[in-house]
Amino acid sequence: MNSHPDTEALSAFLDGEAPEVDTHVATCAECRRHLDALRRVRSAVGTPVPPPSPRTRDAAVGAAVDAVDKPAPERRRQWTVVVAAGAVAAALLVGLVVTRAGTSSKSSKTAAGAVSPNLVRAGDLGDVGDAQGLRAKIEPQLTPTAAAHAPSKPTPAAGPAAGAGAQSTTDQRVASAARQTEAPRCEGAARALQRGRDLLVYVATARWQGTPADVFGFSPAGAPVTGSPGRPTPTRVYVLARSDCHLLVFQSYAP
Amino acid sequence: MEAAREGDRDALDRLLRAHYDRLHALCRRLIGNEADALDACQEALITIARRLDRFDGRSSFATWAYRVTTNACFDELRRRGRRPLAAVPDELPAPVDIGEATAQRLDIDAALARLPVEYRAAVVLRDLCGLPYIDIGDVLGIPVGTVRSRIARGRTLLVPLLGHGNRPEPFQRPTPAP
Repeated sequence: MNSHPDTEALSAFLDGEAPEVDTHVATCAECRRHLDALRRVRSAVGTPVPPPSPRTRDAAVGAAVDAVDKPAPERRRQWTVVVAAGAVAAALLVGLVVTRAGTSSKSSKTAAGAVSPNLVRAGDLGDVGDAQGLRAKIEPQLTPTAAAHAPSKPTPAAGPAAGAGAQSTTDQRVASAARQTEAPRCEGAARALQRGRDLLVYVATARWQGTPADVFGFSPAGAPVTGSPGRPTPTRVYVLARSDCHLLVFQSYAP
Repeated sequence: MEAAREGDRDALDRLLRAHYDRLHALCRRLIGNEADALDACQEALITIARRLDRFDGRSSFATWAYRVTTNACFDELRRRGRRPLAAVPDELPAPVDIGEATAQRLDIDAALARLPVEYRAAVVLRDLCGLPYIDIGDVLGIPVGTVRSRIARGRTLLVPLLGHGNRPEPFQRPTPAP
């Protein structure tokens, strides 16, 4: 029997790009086992990816069509400045500006620290252990209530054991557009992660799998945030460890 | 296609819409999380829309769009290198969505994330997008022989990373038969 074909040939054979090894493979159990392993990998990688929602697709296509008539940003030059600056914080801040210039077609001049006028300060969500639990705690706090029509009237901070539902609704505080002085420690880090594209609409604290954490929700700047009957629902939620602001979990919610 | 190139916005809308899901899937697998994939896909769509008049037709539109999108993903990955990775993947269209299919998808993303990006791109373009080697070479700007090598190495690295129920012994490079 001839030498076995090498892995490269077997892999190419799988793709119909190396027919010369066909004869050997047909009679070699060892090579067929190797082929099976490669075939399983190919099948796994080829698992279809669930498409985004039609709304997400519409928005993306619409933004691209709208962008045709706008000048392209000088992105590379700005990133060069970022690298030269050397500082991570500065890099993230400038990157935020660059990215906005590159993708936003409607509100590119929104300030990096943009906050919704209806910012929800939800207090402490308590213990949260998984993505579903996180969402279950956030969503009830965003349903329209009378409190949603009472901006600029903060109530006392929630206690550490506050949970979802009526209790947490009571715990909500709807902030005015003016920033409150007790900004959560990791707000800057959260903004850097979402690169300033969206408005900060939701702030809370929690214990994520036992780790004290800050929770930040952002939504697109174009969402109704002024004079709307409800509150803007965050489309991106970040949970960061309060100790060093590293990212514990990120969730994107369908709008 | 021609109408889109000549400035027909409705035609451009239809063209981008027809390719969106495929380009998003490429972004999702190359980048590994939904939020960054959506960002990269958005960047790619904008680039495609703006540069469509420069598309010379030497490759198919799909191949050209994959090239633009792959570059957008590389840019996104470089940017992401400057910030922390998401600890838990995203995408929560509904609370009941986390099931077996999602778990499998997370396995694939986690495994792909451990590949060098040049291997990852070659494998994804082949196994997810179904491009022939010559088109992958066009997308990545490398010779076909290099495409073949990267796909083989990428798949080989993935064998132990992708958990499969009845996986036989660890994959090893075949040795010469006696």
